[in-house]
Amino acid sequence: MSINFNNHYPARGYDELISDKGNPRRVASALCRYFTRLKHDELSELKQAVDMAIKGMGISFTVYSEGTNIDRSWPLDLIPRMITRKEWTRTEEGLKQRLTALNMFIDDLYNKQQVVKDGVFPKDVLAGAKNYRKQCEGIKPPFGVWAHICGADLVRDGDGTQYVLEDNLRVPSGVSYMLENRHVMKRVFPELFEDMDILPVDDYTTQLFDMLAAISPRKGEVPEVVVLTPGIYNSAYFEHSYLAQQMGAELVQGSDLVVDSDDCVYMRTIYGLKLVDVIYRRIDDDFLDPEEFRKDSTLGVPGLMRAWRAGNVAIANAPGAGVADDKVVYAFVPDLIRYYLSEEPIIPNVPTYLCMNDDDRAYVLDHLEELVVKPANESGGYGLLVGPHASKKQIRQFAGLIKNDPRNYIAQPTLSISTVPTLVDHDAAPRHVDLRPFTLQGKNTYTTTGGLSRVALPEGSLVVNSSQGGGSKDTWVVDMGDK
Amino acid sequence: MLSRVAENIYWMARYLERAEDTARLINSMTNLLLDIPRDVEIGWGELIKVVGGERLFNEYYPEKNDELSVMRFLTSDKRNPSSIVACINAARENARVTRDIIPNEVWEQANELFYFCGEYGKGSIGRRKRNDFMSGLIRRCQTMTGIMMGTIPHDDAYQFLRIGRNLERAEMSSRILDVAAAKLLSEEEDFNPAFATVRWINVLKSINAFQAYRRQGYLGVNGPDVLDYLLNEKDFPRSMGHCLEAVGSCLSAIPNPRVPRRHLNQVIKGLEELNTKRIKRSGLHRFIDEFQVGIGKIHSSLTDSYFSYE
Repeated sequence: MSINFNNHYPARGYDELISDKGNPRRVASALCRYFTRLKHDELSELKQAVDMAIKGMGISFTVYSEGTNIDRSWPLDLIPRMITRKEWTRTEEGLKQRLTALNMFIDDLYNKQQVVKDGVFPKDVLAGAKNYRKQCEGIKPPFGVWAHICGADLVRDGDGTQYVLEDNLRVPSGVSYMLENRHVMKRVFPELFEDMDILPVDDYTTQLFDMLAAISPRKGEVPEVVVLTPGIYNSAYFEHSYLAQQMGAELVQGSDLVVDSDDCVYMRTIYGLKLVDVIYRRIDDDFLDPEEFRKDSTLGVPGLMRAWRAGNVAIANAPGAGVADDKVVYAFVPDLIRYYLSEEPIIPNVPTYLCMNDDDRAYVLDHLEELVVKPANESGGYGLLVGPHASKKQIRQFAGLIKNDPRNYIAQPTLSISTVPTLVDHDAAPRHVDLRPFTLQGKNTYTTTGGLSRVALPEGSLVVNSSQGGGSKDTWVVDMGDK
Repeated sequence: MLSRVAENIYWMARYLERAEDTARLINSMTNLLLDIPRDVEIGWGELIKVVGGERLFNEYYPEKNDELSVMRFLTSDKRNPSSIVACINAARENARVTRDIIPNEVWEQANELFYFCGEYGKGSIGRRKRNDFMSGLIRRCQTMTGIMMGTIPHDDAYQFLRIGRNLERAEMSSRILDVAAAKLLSEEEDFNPAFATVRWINVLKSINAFQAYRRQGYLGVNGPDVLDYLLNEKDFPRSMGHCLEAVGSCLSAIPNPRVPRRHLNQVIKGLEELNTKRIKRSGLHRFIDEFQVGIGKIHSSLTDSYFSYE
């Protein structure tokens, strides 16, 4: 038995590769032909080749439980997600537009707060922003950029519209898996890469290094760039070491760094102390500097904020950038784009109800069983209510939570997220996906070609997180020859 | 290079070497038992002494001295930080925190070793599958060392790798000599000479030195010559003298080696001054004790000079 796209298609909602009539879309026709021609054994062999490559290359993510690290092999599905270059060009513009506006917004908040004075962004939303850091007021980082690395999540609804679901401006992860997915796919399907115009993704780490080098406080010399990791127990440790290795940067932990009396950051080396110019930090604000944030943090570096404020070290993403990573702020992003750039947003927001507004709250409380309710400052899918799948008890509980702390909750309609054919028991079945492209901003702005596609493996599931059984797909942006 | 990374690489090399040397030791002991007369008692407890694990062993295996307990303790017991499985775990954890420095192939091989131990470690305690496991392990450790030698640029990381490996190897060689040879020296007169020869051959084999020793052109296999070879033969990569010389050449390539060098020179001097022709059991034991203390001093001075930089 080989793959037959008619067994599970047409899908109920929008599928990225197969049309609602059950035929492959133009971008996917060669790929679908390739897969339907594979014999049962050939398919098994390819699947095994992918699994072996992943195990052999040591591509893993870490689950920490019962005092030990468990390395799980990274799950990669054989069938890629495909996007035309024409569509991608527009998405890319939309992501750059969004990050540009967000950075202008953060810079404004920590300086003049003109956006509040002009009445575009409400004062009481700012007052309730948990990730606003007073310690950052008055700082002017290079190029006015605070969020240097952004990993927005994109989803497509049933009617084919693509939305930004979250902006992820703190320490977004996943880019290493995007790069490694491509390595594995090129190893296993070299003939497909020969036959199709699949745009490459592997310049990301070079772009990342260039961006980081450009924000160094010391010009004219090769800057000392370090990646600051919380350590091996972090689930993204693989990524931290991967990026450091690819950039030729030192991978450091907080204890490797020290801030001296000259307010400069140094790392402890076998030659003595060595000056650090740029820190790509992969730990949250809260743990960055025990002198100014959480005092019990052992992951951070005492005095780091002092050194940063004195302009002696660059930190990416800048402390305080997370203020714009608030789901209430998210609702204002289209307005912020209009306000700062005088442009219409290229990629729309998912319609969002702010529970702090009386009208919105009344609507939300009346329609909880249809809506998705999210707390404003959580990430990773924690603390959600998915109305259509929730029990009466959960709905009552969320109604209470919203009434108690309306500022902390937003609600959105439940989207019918698009699917991609995914290998299930030797056949291709529709499974829901999202897409996380990565956008860099420093002196210039750069977006990855495609991104990390995450897929929810159980039928009907919308949970794409790898820690909860999600898988991944390579993302192919294909040049079809049209503009 | 970061002080922490230097330390991690140093320990990765030490643990890898310790696992390999323990496997060699177990292999040679198992072989020896096949050769000796059944009424001669050679306790498995000797192996525990070689690795300096008496205290832990007595705690976890009170009143035991049998082959299976000793094998479990040396091979798969994670409570023993020097068991093969624990060493491979530790080597891999040290590799994990230096993944930005070490080539991917090294990490892949560390993984392969780890999976190999996880799959076959426990099953290797009985004699039937023991040799397969030990040989497989030795081969994989050597592969990892080979990959490292062939891919790591000869910068600071490489020097710390070689220092770790050679210090550990020198110490393990001394431990093997301490037990195997000391017992031989004391009992030589009552021993059947042919049997003494078998045991000296075994000492050589446990350090993989038998072939090399024969090629060197010694007349027979006797105590003083074997001792001399394993202590001082500079050309043989597992002799204590060779290992220390290698550490010395690494020190020349890293900054500020003054203090470690002073300790190293003392140990080398002791080695060269030992007269193997006339040595007795107690003398050798005392010498090896001093040797190990010396290695410990070199280690502490490395820690002070490089790993805990303030």
